[in-house]
Amino acid sequence: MVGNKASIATRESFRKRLRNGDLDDNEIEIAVNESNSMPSFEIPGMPGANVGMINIGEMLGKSMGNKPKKKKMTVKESHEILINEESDKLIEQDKIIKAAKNSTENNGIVFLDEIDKISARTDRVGGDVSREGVQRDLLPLIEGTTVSTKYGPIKTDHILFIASGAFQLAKPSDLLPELQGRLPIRVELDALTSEDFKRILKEPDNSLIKQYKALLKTENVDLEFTDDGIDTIANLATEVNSTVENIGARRLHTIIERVLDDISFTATDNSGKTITVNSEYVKKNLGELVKDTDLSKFIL
Amino acid sequence: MQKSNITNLVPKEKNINDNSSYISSLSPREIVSELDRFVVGQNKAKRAVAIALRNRWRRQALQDEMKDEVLPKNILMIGPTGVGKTEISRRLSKLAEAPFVKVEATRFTEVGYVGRDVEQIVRDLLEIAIAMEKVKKRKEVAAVAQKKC
Repeated sequence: MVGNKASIATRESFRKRLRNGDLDDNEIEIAVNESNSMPSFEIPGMPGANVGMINIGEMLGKSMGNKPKKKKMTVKESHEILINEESDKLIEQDKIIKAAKNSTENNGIVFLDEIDKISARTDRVGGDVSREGVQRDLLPLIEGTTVSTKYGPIKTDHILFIASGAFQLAKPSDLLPELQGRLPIRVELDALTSEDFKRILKEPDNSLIKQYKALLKTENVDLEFTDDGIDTIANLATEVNSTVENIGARRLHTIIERVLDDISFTATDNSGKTITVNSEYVKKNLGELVKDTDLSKFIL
Repeated sequence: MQKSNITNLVPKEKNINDNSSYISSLSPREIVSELDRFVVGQNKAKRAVAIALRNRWRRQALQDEMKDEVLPKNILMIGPTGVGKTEISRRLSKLAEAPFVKVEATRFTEVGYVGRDVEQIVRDLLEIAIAMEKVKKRKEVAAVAQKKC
């Protein structure tokens, strides 16, 4: 930063200023080793081929890329990058990979969402890539197999699998029998009642209502929800869910957005005011829509 | 379900000497109350998930021979859309200091068709684990690096 020929005194004074953070906003240029990330691409029809492809990317990177790149940034930003670079030199890559493999095999958790969508449905018509094969592919993985990776083989015996699905059209029994057997713990989640909706609106750490309050606070508008206002929102959400389509807690998003539409739009002009959302306000903005099923199919 | 005071349940200090991470110092009950902060109700699912998490920790403490025999009890969550299945998993991934991947089963195709094959899940998991270990190691050596640069 001070150049190679600087005297000890200059270096000292600069070090002091650096430690104090005086120089944090100054801009400097440093050479950064770009972590060359070559996109890994898959060869269709050759599963596992991308294992090798990544290696090729790395080899090319070593011979061609990976030149230090000059970058402009503030001292503060550069500090972090330099520390990371220095740390990387101290870390033994082999040790990391060994630890990572160990933690993958013993602590890894895989969450398989929408598992019901790959079950074979008897009533399906039309062409579709068979999903039943995916189930068969999943079997060994869940049962325990060895997968080859570019860092070496990984045993999947002790990886925890959590599968989830709505099973509205398909039933758990539509899955391959072996797959059912490998998911021994079944838990059913209950459909939400309007009581649940109330709690969802109020209780979680970053609940919807807290989010909207915080958002409008940035415009200097205080948003208040009365209890009966929240009750009304929850009841309307249940009503729409039962009459139109049950989309669960997501319904609250659409409803609240609709209720607060006006407030959000005019918030900038209402700086400094307090706006209270009570039952009447909710009904005024929504009441008609909820009653008209045809209309709410499109809007809510 | 009664409301619990969560903040009191989270241990304030963790033992630095033992290698176990924050999550492994949580009992199933604490994991549930930690999830309660973000997901309302669905206690059965939370319990199952908490037990599964804790069981990993229990297995780690076993002797070698037994350790190999104990297999994880995989979970199947069933419930209509929008009741919190995915939300539980999202929160769990933040809570569990373990390699965690969430995949949509619909993204995969049978071997031979264009699309991802299921073994990619394990590779992704390993990549995540490596990234996690890197962050951990970086923290360890940061002090040494500070002196050098």
